[in-house]
Order: sequence, then structure tokens, then C-alpha cells
Amino acid sequence: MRASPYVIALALAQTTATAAPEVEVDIGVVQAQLRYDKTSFNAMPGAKVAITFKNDDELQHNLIVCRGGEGAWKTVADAALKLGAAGFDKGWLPESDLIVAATRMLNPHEEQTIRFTAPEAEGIYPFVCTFPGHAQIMRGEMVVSRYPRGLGDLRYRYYEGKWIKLPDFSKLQPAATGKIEDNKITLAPRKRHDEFGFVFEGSLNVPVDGEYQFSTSSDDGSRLLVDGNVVVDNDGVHGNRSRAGKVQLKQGAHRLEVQYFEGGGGETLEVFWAGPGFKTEPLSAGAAANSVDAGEFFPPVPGRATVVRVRLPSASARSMAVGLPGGISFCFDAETCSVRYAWNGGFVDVSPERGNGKGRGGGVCKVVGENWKVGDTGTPLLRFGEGDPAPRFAGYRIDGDAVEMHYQIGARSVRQRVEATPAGDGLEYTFSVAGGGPQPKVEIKRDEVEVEGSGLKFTVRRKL
Amino acid sequence: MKTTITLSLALQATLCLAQEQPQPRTIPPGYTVETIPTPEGTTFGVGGIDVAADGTVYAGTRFGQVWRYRGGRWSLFAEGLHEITGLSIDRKSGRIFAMQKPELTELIAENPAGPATRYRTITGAFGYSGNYHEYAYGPVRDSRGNFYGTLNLGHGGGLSVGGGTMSIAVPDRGTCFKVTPGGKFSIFSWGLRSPAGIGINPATDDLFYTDNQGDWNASSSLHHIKEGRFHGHPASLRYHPKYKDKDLNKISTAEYDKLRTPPAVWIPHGEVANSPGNPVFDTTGGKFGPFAGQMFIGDQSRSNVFRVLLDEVRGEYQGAVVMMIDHLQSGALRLAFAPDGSMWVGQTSRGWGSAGGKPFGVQRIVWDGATVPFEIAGVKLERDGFTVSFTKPVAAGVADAAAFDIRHWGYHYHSRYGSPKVDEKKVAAAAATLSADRRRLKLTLPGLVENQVYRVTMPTGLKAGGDEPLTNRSFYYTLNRKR
Repeated sequence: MRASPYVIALALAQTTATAAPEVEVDIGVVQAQLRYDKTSFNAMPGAKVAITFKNDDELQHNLIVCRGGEGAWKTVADAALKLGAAGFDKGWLPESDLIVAATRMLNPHEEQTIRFTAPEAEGIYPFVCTFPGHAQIMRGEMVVSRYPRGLGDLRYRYYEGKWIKLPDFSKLQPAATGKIEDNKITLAPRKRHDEFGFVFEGSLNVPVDGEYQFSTSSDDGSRLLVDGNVVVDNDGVHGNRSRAGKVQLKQGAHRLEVQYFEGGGGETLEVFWAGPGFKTEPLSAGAAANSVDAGEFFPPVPGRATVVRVRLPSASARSMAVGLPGGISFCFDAETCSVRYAWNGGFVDVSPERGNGKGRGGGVCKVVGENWKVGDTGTPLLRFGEGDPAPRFAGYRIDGDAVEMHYQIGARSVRQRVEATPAGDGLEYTFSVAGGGPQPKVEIKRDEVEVEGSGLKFTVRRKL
Repeated sequence: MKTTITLSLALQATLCLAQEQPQPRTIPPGYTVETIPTPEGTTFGVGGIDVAADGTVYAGTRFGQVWRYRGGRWSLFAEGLHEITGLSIDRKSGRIFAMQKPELTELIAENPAGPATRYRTITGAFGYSGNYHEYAYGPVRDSRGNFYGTLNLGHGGGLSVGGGTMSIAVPDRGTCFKVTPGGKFSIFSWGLRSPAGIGINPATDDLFYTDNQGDWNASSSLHHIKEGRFHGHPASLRYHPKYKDKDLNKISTAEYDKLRTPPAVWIPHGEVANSPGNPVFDTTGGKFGPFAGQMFIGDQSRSNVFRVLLDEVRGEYQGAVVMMIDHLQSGALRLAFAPDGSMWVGQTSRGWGSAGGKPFGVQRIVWDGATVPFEIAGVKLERDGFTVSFTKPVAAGVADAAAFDIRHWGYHYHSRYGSPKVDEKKVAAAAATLSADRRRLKLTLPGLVENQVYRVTMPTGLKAGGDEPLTNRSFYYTLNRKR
């Protein structure tokens, strides 16, 4: 006899809903990638939560926990942006009903612990960094649920036999059975390396209603069932092979069953799941969580003006990423001889250009941060008259924290010096022109940016 | 305690290995290969390498960095370039030029002791759509200071001709370009496919490039560039003033064949090279051994170095290829001679792999200054055969003319990818006659055929004094025209 899932769920609910233990979470930063190193954790309704946020990055970051559903982070981040220059003084912390708790804006290598009580309402509470440009990438989720995500009460039945596909284990006599204390699916209890099988069974807590994906990676066959229904079928004799399946699940405890067999040769079993509020996590021992391509960041955060010529989005193949100290970067296009857009945050992920060191590469690289418009018209900022000839790029010069872009417009040599504003919220342009002719006019989409200054020296700031 | 001893022994073994570096399986006596350690933690796939007059080596990497090597140490000189695929230093002025995908750039260190701070565009006038295969190679400079480089076709996207694999989406691809010292850009020749190296003979200003086997190119090949030439791949003609309004897919192969200048020298695919790099001329005046004035080319795929023995026949270059060193540790894409007479080899395997196996590296080939290896020194076409000269007198092994293995074959000119050998025939030398000084061997071959590659393999018994065999016994002579 086996307890029905319903009974297990009720039992869990009773034992867990009464206690609301304190949740202590350490969250760090993945250097230069605008990512928290932990993007999901559970808390019981009403639990006392302590988050210690360690900013081991070269940029400023905060951590704001929001209520209002999965998309609430955007409302809060947008409100922070609207603070404008005042945002620096306020640590980019807007006034909002949607904020559950927040750290201050931490300087590089600072840390802060915030304590708060988790809301009683179960659901997903996103957390986000509201430094301009970071929110699109730098996010995570606190899941408030009586069912802290994970596998419990994991048991195994071990079988020996020679199969070419999964047998009906219920008709076979296990050679051994046992409980797995750390609740991670593992082949460790096997007594030989060929011709054996396992059935793992446990109780899987699903924190919120939603769609969940499961996958197995196995050599040889495997099958994953939730509440007796097959979700992943990875049966047969094969080398290490991944198969995935999706299922709608209600909040609560569910019965997870994983069947596995090994014929001969290598043996592997890895099991993963993903769902609302969390990316791929392992249910098996030794499997790497979140095995996302790390990317190549060059350089992580510029300490001085740095030019990297690679293909960039929304620009010609002759574009370049220019990083300035303070976490502001821009795309300069050598075809248009203009700044196409800017971004705050990290710099640039060049792995598509480099083919991750193996492939032929040449791909469009990823801007690390959130783009903002700079008023680009697709032509140089200076116009000398109607019918200016197409500009010709002449190179650039790196001068400490500034970069100087050089180009020709007809007989005129233009030097456009670009520096970050002291607050890092805009670009300061200083032009010098050789070659005579009429005074140039500035051509810029003023509806896209705040322009301050005039003539051949002015600043553009993001319009909020 | 025991562990410590084992460790120190292991360390000694490592040191020994470092001193006696692994040598390629084929290398002529008197030559050694030194492996230059590259900066730790840096992916050092070399796209360009050159040596300044003071011996400082500059290596440009495919990840856009330029490193400077002097006194046995590397320092970063420039970074952030868009896949460096060529680097050239003016030995007189010390000016440094780097070819990157979107442009040719001069790298200027405003503080000479420091890194480059100024990146001056020499030309960005050519079409570049961003297709990964649109490599730009060069530059080389002629005696008047003009720059030359080559522009690859794209792979996928744009127009292809005859269903070929390579295609053109923007102007200037598939050409050799020229830039005057004043910066004026022009197309110099047409019909290139996927070149990976350009070279110039500093004594004559003759320009050459190597191309890769593929559509419209039967085998790896060496081409002599002259202004206005069409080298055989039709895609570049899409933007040629005479052909831009024509449908290139309606022009017959026979017509393209009439237009083209065939390769000066075929580099038989699979036997000698699969992806040859830049030709360099031995200007060391004998410091690199008995090959002064000859052309050397490295190959990425095979990771070897071979020599080209040019032979001018009725106003056109053709000639022979002879293997020299096989294999190096990684794809030998770039060669450069240093003022001390050594040859630097810049290496990369990325994207196409290499027999050498290592993903990247730098090696240096050094001649000991004394040992003359027994090698083929030259091949000249005669009206009735070939005269082969040797680096030292032949002592034995030429008595039997039938012992020379001689074959010749042709190649198809077509839009398909590569060509098999066509009508390969084995022929016999009528006579093998040694000159009085025993350094020159006349192989008499009646009935020479044009547009053929002749492979001649010397008998194993052909030896110099002291029973010394040839390190490399074969030459491949491209006979485009008879004398």
C-alpha cells in the first residue's frame, strides 16, 4: 500500500504551515555580468527573512524585493529611472507601494543584511537591481509558498537484470531498497556497473500553480512520472541523451517517480526541473545547475575608455562598443560616424564574435545592460550644410577616461571627444573641426534625449 | 616526504622536455623548431605576425589583440580590434599596420614605450556586410609604399555563381585591393575566392596570394597578382564595371576560363596543403640556410611549411612546390622572417582545425648556420624535361632513370567544390643526367604537356655524401606553359 498523493500533501501542509522558520539567504553578484548569483529562494508565508546582499562587483548594485506578481520588478525599475539625476542621491530607490524590502545602493565590495517578514499571500515576489540599465538582466525571485520547492522523502529500489528497455519494475523483485538522506537522485547505491536498474520515488513540493518542465539526461534509458503520469520518456539503449517534457501542476506535494536502467558501458542519470520563479535546477546529485553559457566579457568593466570592435545589434558591421569608466557604454558606428545608442550597466559579451573560442565566430555581440536612445539620426551630429558628403571614418584615439572619434566630412576633419558625465548618466561631447567652412549645426533627435549645453560642447542624457 | 621527491623529479622531467622541445616529424637537418610560450590565460590565435628592425615581434590575434615580444616577454600593445588577420611593420619607419575585418588600421603609440593609443584608419572603403567569412588579409607594401590586401567572399547570403558555396553580398569582395600612401582605395585584381595570405617579393614588387580549394578552385593554389587580372572565381564580377549589369549565372564556364589567369602554382590539396597562408620571401641573405630568395608558405590545416621554387617561363611565373617542415604544433597560418634570419610562425586552428592539434601558438624556426641539409634547391623547366638542382653534390642514386617516380595530372575548372586529379599518368624519364659538379640533375622527359601538375619523386637511393638522404624527395611542378 502506498499513501495517496493527497494524503502526503495534506500531511506536509500541516507540518509546514504551522512553522514559519527564519530564512537566511546570501546573495552575491556574478562579476561584470549584471546577475545575482542566486536567482531564486523560498520563504514560508509570514517567515522572517534575512537577505545578506554582497556586492562583489565593480559596479553599484541594490536589491529590492517587490510585490505585485512576476512583472512587478519592471514597475519598480521604471519608477527608479524616473527619479532622474536625483536617483543617485536616493540610491535609485523609488517611492512605491510595491516594495517589500530594499537594500541601499551598495558600492563595490560592500554588503548589507536586510530583514523583513515574508508576505502572507503566497506567490512570486521578484527582486531587482534598480541601478539604471541593470533591471532587464539583474533579477531574481522570492517564492512565498507553504510548499518550499524541492524533493523530499526520496527512496530507491535497486534491481539487477539485463534489459534493452525499461521493464515493468513493479513485477520485479528489488535487489535492494533504501532511503536517500540528501534527497538527490543518484546511482551511488548500485552494486555493479552494468545490467542494473532503479526506481526512485519521492515527494516533490510544487510552490505555486503553473507549468513545470522536467528533463532527464541518461545512459541508458529513463522515464519520469509525476503523480503516475509519464512526463519524460527517455527509454531505450543509448549514450547520454536528454529528453524533456512539460506538465501543469497545482501547488502542493506531488509524487515524483524516476525509472532508470543501464545495459552496458557508461552509466549516467541526471534529472532537472524548471518552473515559475526558477530556472533549471537539478533533482539529481552531481548535476550542474543553471549550466548557462558563461559568455566572454571583454573587458568586464572598463576602468578607462575602451574600444572593442565587434558587430553590435542595430548597427552596421563596422560598429564598435566603447566603454567608459562608471558603467556607461555606447555603440559607435564607423559607417554613419555617429553614436547609435548607449547603455548603462556592464559592457559587452563578445562570445558570439569569438565563436566561444572554437567556432568560426563572427556573430552579433550582446550589449550587457539596457539600451537607451541618444538622438541618433544615422548621420554625424554636426551638419555643415545641405548635401554634406557621406562621412569617412578616420579612426579613434584613447585618452584616459575619454575617447576621441575621428572622421572626415568632405574637407573637414572632425574630432568628437566623448566622456561620461560625472554622474554616469549621459555622454559629454566636445567637437573640434578643422578644414574651415560654415559653422556646423547640431542634428539630434531632441525628443529622444535631454541636451544640455550648446555649440560644439554639449551633453546628452537619457530621457526619462 | 615521498611526495616531495616525486614532485621534484616530475619537475626535472618537465624542464628537460622544455629544453629538448618536440620537433616536427619532417625537418631538414640543421633546422630546429622552438616553441615560444604565449601569455598565460590568453587565447593567442595568430592572424598576423611581423618582426621590427630591432627584433621586436608583434603578433596580432584573432581576438583583436596585438602583443609585443621582446627580451623573452610578451606585453599587450593594442586591443579591441575586429579579428586581426594580418599585421605588417615598416622596417624603416617602424610604423605598424593591422588588417581587421572592417578596415586597415595603423596602430600608433603616442608614447613609444607604451601601448597603442591612436588607431588610424588607412582604409575602410571596401564593402563589408558582417558575414563571418568576409576576411580581409594583408597588408603588404610595395617599394612605393602602396598597400595591398585581399578581401574574401562571403559564405552564405548574396549571389553565388553556378551553385558555388561562396557568395557575394557587397562590393569589393573577392578582390585584391590597393591603397596608395595618400589613402586612395582601388580594386587591383578580381576573381579571388577565399584567400588567406598575400605576399610580395621585395626584390621585384611581384605580388602573390594563396587561395583555398573550393567552388571554382580545384585545389589550394598560388596566384600571381597583376593589375586587372581575373583569378577565376566569378562572384566578384557582380560589381565589376564590365559585368555588373550581366547575369553571372548565364555566362558559360568556358567564357570564365578564357578570362582567367590560372594559378601560377598549384599546391595539391591533401598532399601538400589544404589552407595555405601568406607567402614570404627569404630575404635573410643566407641566414636561414641555402634557400635565399625563395618563397615559403605555411598551411593552417596541415600545420606545415613548404617552399615554392618559382620559374619564369615566357613572361609568366609557374614553378614547383617542395615540402619543408611537417607538422608544426598548430595551424601555420602566418610566416615572417626576423632580422636575425629566423622564421616566426604564427598559428591558429580555430574554425577549421589543424593537424598540429594545438588551438594556437607561436613557433620559431632556426637554422644552425652551418649544417647544409640535402634538399632540392631549384627546379627549372627545360624544353624537354626538368633540371633539378640540389643544395649539395649528389653522391649516388641517379644511375637508373626509371627509378624516378614521375606522374602528371590536370584539374577541372568548374563551379563544383574542388576537383579530383584528372587523367593522372605515370611517365618515365628518358634519361637522368648529372652535371659535372654533381649539383644539377637533368631529367629528360619527351612530350611535356601543358596545364598539368608534374609530381617527381626522387629515388630513395638518391643521396649526398655520407649516405645522406633527401629530407623531402618530391616536387610538384605546375606546367602552365612550355618553355
